[in-house]
Amino acid sequence: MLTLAIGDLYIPERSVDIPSKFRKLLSPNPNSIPSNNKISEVICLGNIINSNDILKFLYNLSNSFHLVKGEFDDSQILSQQLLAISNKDKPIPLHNVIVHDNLRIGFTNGYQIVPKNDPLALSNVARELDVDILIWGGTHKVEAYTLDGRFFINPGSATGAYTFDWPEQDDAQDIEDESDLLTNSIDVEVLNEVIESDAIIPSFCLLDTQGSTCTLYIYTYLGGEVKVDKVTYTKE
Amino acid sequence: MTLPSISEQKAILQGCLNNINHQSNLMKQCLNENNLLQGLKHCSNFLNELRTNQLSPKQYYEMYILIFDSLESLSNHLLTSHNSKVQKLKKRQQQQQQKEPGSVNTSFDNTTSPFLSDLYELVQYSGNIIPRLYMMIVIGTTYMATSEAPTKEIMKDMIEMCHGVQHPIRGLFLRYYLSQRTKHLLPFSNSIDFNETIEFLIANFIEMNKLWVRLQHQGHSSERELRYRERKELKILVGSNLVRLSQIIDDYKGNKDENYSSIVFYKTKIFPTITEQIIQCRDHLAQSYLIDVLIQIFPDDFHFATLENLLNNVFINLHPLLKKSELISTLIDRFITYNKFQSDLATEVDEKLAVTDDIKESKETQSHEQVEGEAEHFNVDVDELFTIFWNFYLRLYESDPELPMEEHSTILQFYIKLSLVYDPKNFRNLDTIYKFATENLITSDKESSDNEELWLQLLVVPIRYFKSVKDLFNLPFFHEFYLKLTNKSYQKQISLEIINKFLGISTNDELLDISPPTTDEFEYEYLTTTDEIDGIFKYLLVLIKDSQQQQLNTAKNLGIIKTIKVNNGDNGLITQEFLDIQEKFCKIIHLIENPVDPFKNLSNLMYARRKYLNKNSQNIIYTYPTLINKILYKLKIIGYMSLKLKKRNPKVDYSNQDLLITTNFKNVSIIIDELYQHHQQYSSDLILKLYLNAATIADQLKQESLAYELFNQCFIVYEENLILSSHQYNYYHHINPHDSLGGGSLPYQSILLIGNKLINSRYFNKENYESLITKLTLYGSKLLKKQDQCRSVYYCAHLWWWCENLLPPGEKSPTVNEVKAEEVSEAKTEKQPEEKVETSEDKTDEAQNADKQDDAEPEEDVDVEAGEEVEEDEESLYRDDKRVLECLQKALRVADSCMDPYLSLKLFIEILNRCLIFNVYGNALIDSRYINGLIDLITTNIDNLKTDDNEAAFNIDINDAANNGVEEDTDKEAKLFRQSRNLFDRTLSYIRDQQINENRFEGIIV
Amino acid sequence: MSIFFKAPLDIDIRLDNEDTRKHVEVKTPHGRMEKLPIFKDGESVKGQVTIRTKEGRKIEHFGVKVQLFGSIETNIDGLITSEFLSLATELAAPSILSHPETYPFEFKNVEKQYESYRGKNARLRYYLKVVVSRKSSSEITREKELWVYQYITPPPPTSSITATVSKGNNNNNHNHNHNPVQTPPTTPSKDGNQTVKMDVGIEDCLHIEFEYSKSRFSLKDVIIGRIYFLLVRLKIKHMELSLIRRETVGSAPNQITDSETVVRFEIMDGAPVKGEAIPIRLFLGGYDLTPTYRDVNKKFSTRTYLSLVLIDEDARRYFKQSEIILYRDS
Repeated sequence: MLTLAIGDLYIPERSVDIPSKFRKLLSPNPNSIPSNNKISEVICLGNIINSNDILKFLYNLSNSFHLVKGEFDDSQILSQQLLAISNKDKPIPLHNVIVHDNLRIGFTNGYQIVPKNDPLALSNVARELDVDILIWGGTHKVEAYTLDGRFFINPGSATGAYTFDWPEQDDAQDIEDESDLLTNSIDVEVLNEVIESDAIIPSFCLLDTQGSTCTLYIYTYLGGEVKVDKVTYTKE
Repeated sequence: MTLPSISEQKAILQGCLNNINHQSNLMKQCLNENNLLQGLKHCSNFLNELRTNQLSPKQYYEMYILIFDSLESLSNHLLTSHNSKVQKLKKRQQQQQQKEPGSVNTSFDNTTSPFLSDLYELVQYSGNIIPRLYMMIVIGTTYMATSEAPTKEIMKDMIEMCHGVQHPIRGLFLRYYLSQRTKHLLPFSNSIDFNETIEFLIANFIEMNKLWVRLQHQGHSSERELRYRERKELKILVGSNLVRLSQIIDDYKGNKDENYSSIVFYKTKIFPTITEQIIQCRDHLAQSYLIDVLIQIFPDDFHFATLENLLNNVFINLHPLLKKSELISTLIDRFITYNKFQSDLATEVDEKLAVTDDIKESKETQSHEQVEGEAEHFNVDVDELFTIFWNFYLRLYESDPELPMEEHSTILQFYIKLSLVYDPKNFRNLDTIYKFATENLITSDKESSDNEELWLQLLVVPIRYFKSVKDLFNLPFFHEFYLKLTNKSYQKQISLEIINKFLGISTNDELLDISPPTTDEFEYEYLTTTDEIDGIFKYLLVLIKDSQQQQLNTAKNLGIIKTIKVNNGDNGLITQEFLDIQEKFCKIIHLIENPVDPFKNLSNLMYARRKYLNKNSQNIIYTYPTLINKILYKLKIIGYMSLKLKKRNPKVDYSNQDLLITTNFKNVSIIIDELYQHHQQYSSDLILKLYLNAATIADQLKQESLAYELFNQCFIVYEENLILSSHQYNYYHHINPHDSLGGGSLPYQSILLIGNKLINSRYFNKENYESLITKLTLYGSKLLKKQDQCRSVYYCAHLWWWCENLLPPGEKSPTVNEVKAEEVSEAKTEKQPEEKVETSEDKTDEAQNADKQDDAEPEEDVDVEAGEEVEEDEESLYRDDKRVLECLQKALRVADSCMDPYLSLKLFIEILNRCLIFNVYGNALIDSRYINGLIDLITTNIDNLKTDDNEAAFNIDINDAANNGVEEDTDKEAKLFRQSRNLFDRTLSYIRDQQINENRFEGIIV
Repeated sequence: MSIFFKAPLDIDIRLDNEDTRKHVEVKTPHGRMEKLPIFKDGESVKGQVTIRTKEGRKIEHFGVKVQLFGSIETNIDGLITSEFLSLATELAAPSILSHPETYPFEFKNVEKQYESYRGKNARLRYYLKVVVSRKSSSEITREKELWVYQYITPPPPTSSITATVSKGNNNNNHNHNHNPVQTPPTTPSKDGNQTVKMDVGIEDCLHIEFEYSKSRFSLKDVIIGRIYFLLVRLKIKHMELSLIRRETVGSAPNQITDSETVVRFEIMDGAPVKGEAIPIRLFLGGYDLTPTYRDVNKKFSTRTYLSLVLIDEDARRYFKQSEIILYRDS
């Protein structure tokens, strides 16, 4: 059973669209509903912002759509948009849990977890929700790890929307010493370095759950190409 | 002439067909018996059926087909008997020659041909003209098929005699028969023959057209419609002549005449005659059909050569009611296809050459020449072409003031297409069109505004076709024309088209039947200068300024457009359409981009805001966040760049850039403030988030005073609007207070948001940092609901206990540095603002501590172990174990003070879990003793509740069905209680696990 | 007739070269076809007369003679015969015939003024008559009819006539200054070889002009011409050309005229519009036509008229006749 985990789209606030290769990949039959007959559930971690278009896109991917509120979502608008699409008036929760076979999967945007992104805090949430897999977002960085017997998944941002968090620190940097003394003109090289170190790689995840095992496929979009990584988790 | 009823007609037709079949069979029988004369008699009999007056053209055609086949068999018979006669003669001749080798035989020619030529004369005794002419044609053409026939004389005679049939339908079919029969027999082996053949075809065409036109005027005037339909059915008979003409021209290769050129021939000979006929007939249907055929049938080169004439001498003189636009469209479509075909050809050639290039690079130059040679072939001068078309249009415009606007619009649309396809970069021609349209076609009176829909297409086509929206910048009159549209909704449509194009949203609509050069992947174009911003935004202004309101009203009236409530519905209604447009705006803002010059980029963004985006407060709320985030992001890039440069070149003075960054931060805060002014009441949470982002960036860029000020702004927003959020944001109010992640009130959420940002700030000095976090904790402790108070306080505890470094390698946080420096000397002075919190806490704290801090001894051991782990980091991390403990104590007190024992219990468990985190992170004060105390407390509480629970259950049993409400209530409580106990169990088992697997939590008794 | 009377003599008239001579088939008044030898004007009539007695009887006679007559029979108020030619030759003096006797005869270079003709009310015939005179009973006679053609050497050579004669492009740019009212045909000139043009019409209704290549035609000729429509307000359905033979016998006031349509030929189907030119081509050779005879011996005439008939949608007929001169061509 395939479940899509996707989030932090920030359309249109910080991004114009998800990469078209992702679109094609996710929605092989864009004119039918569901537009992807392999994915049985879609989990969206919020921060859709006001884009009705992308909401519709995600909603139509599969027969089952789960949405939690993201930090920048306007729940009022979002819930009405969803109502117009789905004809179901349901409030948009901050977290939710679904069960696949032996696996309980919880998901939340994570902006109300303090400290945000802290593994112990996340573990605490997982414990509270009593889930085996916790999917969270808000950091725009794709990651997956097992901690204390639970599986933690962050699908990153599907659009590669920028964040205002601290850039990832790269230890190997800044050894070269250039004596470029131009002051007011822009050093393009430095500019590019900065942009690169701050760049967010678009990504999403697919969870293939079976029994007590979840195989996670991590899709990233780098240099115009889509890359897939695989991680497997089995509940003890 | 009134036709019989339909059923009668059918019967008549059937009768005719039967008779034809019958006579035709008799004829074949006679032919088999070599009784030619009798056979011809039967032939004449069935041909007589063609004299009927009572059938519709379609039925007549049915008959014609049958007769055609019968006549073919006659023709075949004649041809075979002719050939056998020739054979016999030849034989006899040979024999004669053998007998008398000397004598030259002269009778050969005389004796062969007469057979058919006699027949040709014989059938002319036939008293009725229709059978006579059909027989003449079948025999004449059979004769033509033999080698010794006087072909051209026969041709001339047949076509001349056909004049006798003046009845339109019968005449058309007769002449069609003539043309069908002669199809492959027309001579064109030399230029004389060729010319005569052409004359023959043209003559037949002219006569057929006359008959066809005349058909319209047959019968009663009430049957005009019927006639028109009948004529339409017959048009192909007339058109076939032109088809044949075109084929002949194509087949004739000039025959050694080097000066012959088919184009010239067409231009001087065929075109004038045919078009004159078309003009002369003054018939609507004929003109529209024949011009169409003319355009379709003859090669494009011909049309290029005669274009001027075709337009100015032919089109102008056609029937005034005939839609010139249709002709123009056919012609231009033709040219467009031609162009496409030629360029496809060229690319094919290119590809082929590319392959060969790879193999033989040395021949590169040569093959390039070849490509150019190929390219030349379709080198049509667009300007010249366009000028011809344009002059025609001007003439049309002057000569026919009554020309409907649809015509103008369609013609100009096709001109635009033509220009686009032939040279998308030729803006002069396009602008000519827009200039003319602006000055002459569009006026502000009522009538013209009704026509505006027509003009829409003129504007839409180039937008869709252009490879780049920026091409529009080259068309000054495009905008003029656009401005002349008085109906705003049309302007909006155009504007939306521009946006869509810009964003690569494909509008798959059949309107654009010319497809622009396709690109696989859409690439966004950036607006890098203010000129470009102006160029695009001048079209968007109508969407900004003239948004929403009246649209919404009409929608309300009609009840069509779905609306979305905002601001909890307090006078807030917007449409999804409006949101969609806003979304597109935001995307456009993203395209104001300059990847190589972020400074310029920033000033452009500011420019766009000042000049366009701030024009309507309705829009501000949806577009500003994007703008602000974009500016912030750019600032972040600039800042990091500047930091990096400073680090690399410490001696250089970068104060200039620093100043720029400071200024821009101030600008950002002005913009946020503007948003705040307009939308304070309903959107303060959004504004808070924006301020937080700004503050975060300021901190990362070591702009401490800015960051401090921005956090203060956050507090102002909080205090002014969020602290009492009674009027808004009740979206999550129904959430269960037991749910720690469920939401809570808006102020609670705001505190979490601020807290999370503060935790990650690294460049405050200690004093400022502590002042900020203390203030936040204080806000948290003053929240309305106990659970919110409790949770925000225990979350705030994290503010005193950093877990991550976050800084780049080699950087030290000033917050920590000061801890080192000041801890010894100035610790006392710092305490002042915090004491307020502490004092209020301490009172209840002591009561609690008495219970829990019984065994504080093992604390030391844990501390050492944990300390070692984090030793390296500790230096750069701000940590204050006491304050953490204080916060947790405060949280415990609040939890304890809850009226709801189940909620208390839940909160205790949450605090326990929180303590575990701090324990792992090495807070020496949150030791096993402390945690054991907490576990005890929870266990006691559970025990207490258990009895209550049992009692409650017992009570329910007694009351049974009487008290359903209570039952549900207690049921719910039981459920919550069970959930809490489960969570507690999970927590304990987690502790056990950690003790076993990770060597943590030593001393904690589970 | 005499055959039935069991005349005692057989008289047989044989012309020289009769087997190879051209014959013509003509209808007898009884409707049967008979074959007659053809003679020309000025041609000698030469042959033999053989007389045989039956069953070897001896017959006495007062002389045998052969006569050549040319006569015209008209039927106005009863049959009147008048001879315009009468020649006779004695073949034998009175004697007794017991063996068959053959007598050659010859009328040298006989002038045969007129052509043989069998019309409705007039006949012109040439015949040989052999008379054997007897004393007692009536004389025994025998007649043999000859058919005389008068060939007229064609007027200065016209264009050769073939199957594909049609010449002359039908250019519509005729400048007609004629009155739209009916005008008489331009009288054909003596040699009759000029084109004939006629301009006819009905005021404000129809105006056509027609043109024949000439007005004199040999019997094997083709009538070629065309019709121009200058004004058409009639709803014409079709157009025919017919040839009418008109025989006039006697002289006024005792004159009988008989008309017979010999040929009817559709030349146009449907209604033309102004400016159309409809071609005419009518082969004469296939029809049974009579050359034009004018006042043959002041007794009768036969003339041929070319009639153009327009039939409108209500089956009304509009026509215009004009005489053509037919002659026999060698």
